[in-house]
Amino acid sequence: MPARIVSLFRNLLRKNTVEQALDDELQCSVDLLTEEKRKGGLSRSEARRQALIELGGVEQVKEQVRAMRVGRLLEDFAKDVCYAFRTLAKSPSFSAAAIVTLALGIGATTAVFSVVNTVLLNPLPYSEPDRLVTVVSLWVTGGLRPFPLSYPDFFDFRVKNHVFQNLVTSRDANLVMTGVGTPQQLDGEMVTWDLFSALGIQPEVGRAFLPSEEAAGTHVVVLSHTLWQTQFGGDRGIVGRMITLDRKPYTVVGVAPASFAFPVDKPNTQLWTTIAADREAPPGDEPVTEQRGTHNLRALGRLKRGVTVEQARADLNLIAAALAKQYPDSNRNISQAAVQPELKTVVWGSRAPLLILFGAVGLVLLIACANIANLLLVRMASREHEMAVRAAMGASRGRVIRQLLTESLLLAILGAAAGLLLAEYAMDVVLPLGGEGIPRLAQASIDARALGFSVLLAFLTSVFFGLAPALQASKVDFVSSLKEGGRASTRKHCRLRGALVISQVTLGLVLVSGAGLLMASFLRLETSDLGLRTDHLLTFSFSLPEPQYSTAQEIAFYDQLLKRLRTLPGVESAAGVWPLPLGRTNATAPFNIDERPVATANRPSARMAFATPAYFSTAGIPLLKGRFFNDHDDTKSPLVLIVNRAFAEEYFPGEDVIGKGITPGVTGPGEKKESPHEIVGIVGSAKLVPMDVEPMPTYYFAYKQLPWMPPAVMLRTDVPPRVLESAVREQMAALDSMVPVFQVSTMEELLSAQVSEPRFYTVLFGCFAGIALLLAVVGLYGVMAYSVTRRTREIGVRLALGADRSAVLSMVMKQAMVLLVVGLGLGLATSLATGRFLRSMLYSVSAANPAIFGFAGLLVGLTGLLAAYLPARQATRVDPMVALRCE
Amino acid sequence: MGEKRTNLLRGTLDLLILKALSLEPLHGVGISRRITQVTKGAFQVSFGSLFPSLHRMEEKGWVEAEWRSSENNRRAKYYRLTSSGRTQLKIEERDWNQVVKIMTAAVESA
Repeated sequence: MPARIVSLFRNLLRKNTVEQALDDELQCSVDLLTEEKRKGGLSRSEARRQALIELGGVEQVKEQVRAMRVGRLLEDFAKDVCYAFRTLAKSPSFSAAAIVTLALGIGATTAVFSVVNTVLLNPLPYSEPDRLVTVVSLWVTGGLRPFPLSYPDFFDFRVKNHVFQNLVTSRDANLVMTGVGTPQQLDGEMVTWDLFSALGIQPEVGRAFLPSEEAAGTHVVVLSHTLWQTQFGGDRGIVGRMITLDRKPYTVVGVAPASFAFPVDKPNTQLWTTIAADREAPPGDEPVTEQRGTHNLRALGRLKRGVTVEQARADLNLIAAALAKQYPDSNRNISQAAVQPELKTVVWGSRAPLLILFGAVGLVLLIACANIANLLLVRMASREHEMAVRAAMGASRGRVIRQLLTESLLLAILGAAAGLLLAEYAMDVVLPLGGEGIPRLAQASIDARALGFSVLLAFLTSVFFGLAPALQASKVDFVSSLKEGGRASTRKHCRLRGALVISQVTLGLVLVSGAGLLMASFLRLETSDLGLRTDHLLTFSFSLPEPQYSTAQEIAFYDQLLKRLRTLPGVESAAGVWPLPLGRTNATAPFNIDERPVATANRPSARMAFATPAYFSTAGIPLLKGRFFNDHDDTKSPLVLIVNRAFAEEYFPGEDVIGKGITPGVTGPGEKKESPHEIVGIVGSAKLVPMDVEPMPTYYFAYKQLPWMPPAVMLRTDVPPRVLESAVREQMAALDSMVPVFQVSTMEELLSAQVSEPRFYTVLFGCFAGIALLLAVVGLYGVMAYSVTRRTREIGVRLALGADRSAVLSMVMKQAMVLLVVGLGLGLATSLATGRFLRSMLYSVSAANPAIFGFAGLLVGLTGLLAAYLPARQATRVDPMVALRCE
Repeated sequence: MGEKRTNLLRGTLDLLILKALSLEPLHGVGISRRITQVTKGAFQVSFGSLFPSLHRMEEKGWVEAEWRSSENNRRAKYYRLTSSGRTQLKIEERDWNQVVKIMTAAVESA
């Protein structure tokens, strides 16, 4: 083989020498042959003629030798690329159209692929992420559903399992840091001691937690790299220092590395502390770590090497079943456990919509390819002459196809390059729309994998759109096309182009219908009646540190605060509620209806909230019957509840609920026994979560009768709500300068954040449908315009023979209508068949929606007709004299 | 001319060229004449096949070329077998004999 490699280099690099030697050799051979013939008695010139005949032509032999050489393919390719550059440069409008089309297709596809890659495919940023699994309980009655763990169940799982190297748990825990700058609320996570070793992460400074640091009374914390840098100036001496969190001293034991993010969907978590704080409780109360009925945890397990998810599930199911037997009151309904790969949990909600989006953008790319195939076919028709000349000069069919595919490849590479730039730019604009609902979305960028993907796309698309035209061109019957000056119109071209346009219209309609569904759904979501007035509302939260503020002091503080806020100019009313409507939290609690009680495990559950008296009027929720809460609804008065209309209709259909008794399964601080409450009012059904199709049954407690914590504050203003933010902070500081105000937000901002995910998908899908429609219409226009040009002479003859101009118009339009109608028919059928893929993304809109599909069809049809009308009108303006003379 | 026949002839041509060069170095015309001579005129090798074959064998390193003056003092490119060319010749001879044996047996059995 080395001989061949040497030859390859010689052939490519020292081409002139090689050619010269070949020339010499052949000339010498001619001379030798001539001499031989002369010896046979021929004249000099006759001998030479005979010699040349015997050799078979010097140039022909040379060409045969060249075809034999190594590196010939490479050399041809280089020649083809040069030639392709020249051809593309010669028709700049064609090249520009093709490159822009491809840039749109490849750019959009690459951008969506980067998102899919980052969000769905990238492994979790921990060591050996394949061995990480999520563990939760499984609710088994009325269909299986995942259910958060309780601490005692978690401890049992941790001790009794045989499958995990580590089993850790985490829950959100926000802590107020004082003593460093202004007091501020930090996003923290309360975890078991071995979180860091379970994830295989070493702290950057200091150490991770110790097993003993889970014990009650220990206060230790690991800081995030960012918090360490911004609040402590990156001081390495921080380890061992005390900081004040919730007015208690915590020892800093370590700093996490900059790249560390846990949980994955909360990358801005600022500190981690141990579950020690959950082991503490006010005297008389049971700490949450002992309450088997309180479910607020999820667990993360690192499987032992070689253990499968199925084995882990089987092992935990045994433990869960044993616990259900041992503690029937709390565990009867959670006799199983759910185990699945952690990555699957993280991307759970984003997987389907992102894959749908990826499919949609793939269709856009297909339409773009069809467009370019069409453009190429038009070009091929005008290059028939060139191809015929090539064939006549001895180019083989394969050689012609290779050259044409090289042109396609060059186009695709240029298109991909432009597409990458486009994708880079588009991602900067579009990604922020996604909000925080899609995990890891903000990290999406065009990395090596996305780059490789776009290069692959370039190759695939070039074959896809280039092969058909190339095959067609290589079949040229060169005699007839040379004779007829390139007007030997091929019927096959027309049929292929028609098929391409039909498929474009079909795919275009599928995308437009899909976008229509999403837009209708999003509009419904945006305009759905939430049951409360979201304008002119400012909300914020705060928390009071426990030992300093007893429950009574907390209530007094809250009264004070509301009183001060009401006096602010611009504030109409002030109230408190927890959980905040349209916030990310909601709470559910079981209850018993006093007149028909059931066993504890079978109690119904509904959304719950607690509120101050002015809440309903502040939020704009109407009173339907009975009364609102008032200031006398405290622990000294009878316990009361307000329910919404949905609750009344669900649990007391056809009855008057005022005066009915209910015993909720929740109790205030320090209370042991569940107490009966009386329903005193019915309010309108407000939706606390905009995605709920119907408002959920909800029951409200009076804050003073269930003072779990100070509720979020809600202000109704008669000025733009944000204006009041600084005044609110001042009022709070005047009451207690150590209490930070956080999550300041207007209600409209909250709503907007809640719908950011559907908005993201709708905007993207809408853009893709727009591009698809544009490309499909341009494709139709191109085919019609071309067909009119080709038929200029025919139309001229018709007009000369007395055809009406309107007859010409309708002739051309008919041709377009056939393409459109077939495309629309196929498109409608496909939309109906594929609409169900969108079902999970739709809000109170049916996936098989004739009205929307009809509208989409109308839109595509009308724009298509418009695109066809322009060339048709052109056809009627043909001057018969000019058309007939233009031969 | 069917494709199979061409392939057979191309393989045969390689063998004939190697065989021709196994005795002494020759130039292109000389090889052609030698083949005609040893096949008693049965094969007239066209130069359009001979030169491409020769150049391919040169690229493979089976033959090497040098410019020399010919018997009647003309400059000519002479080809000579290399050691890998000799090995190749042995391989091709063995293959050929095998083909002949198999074909003969096949034809006679019919």
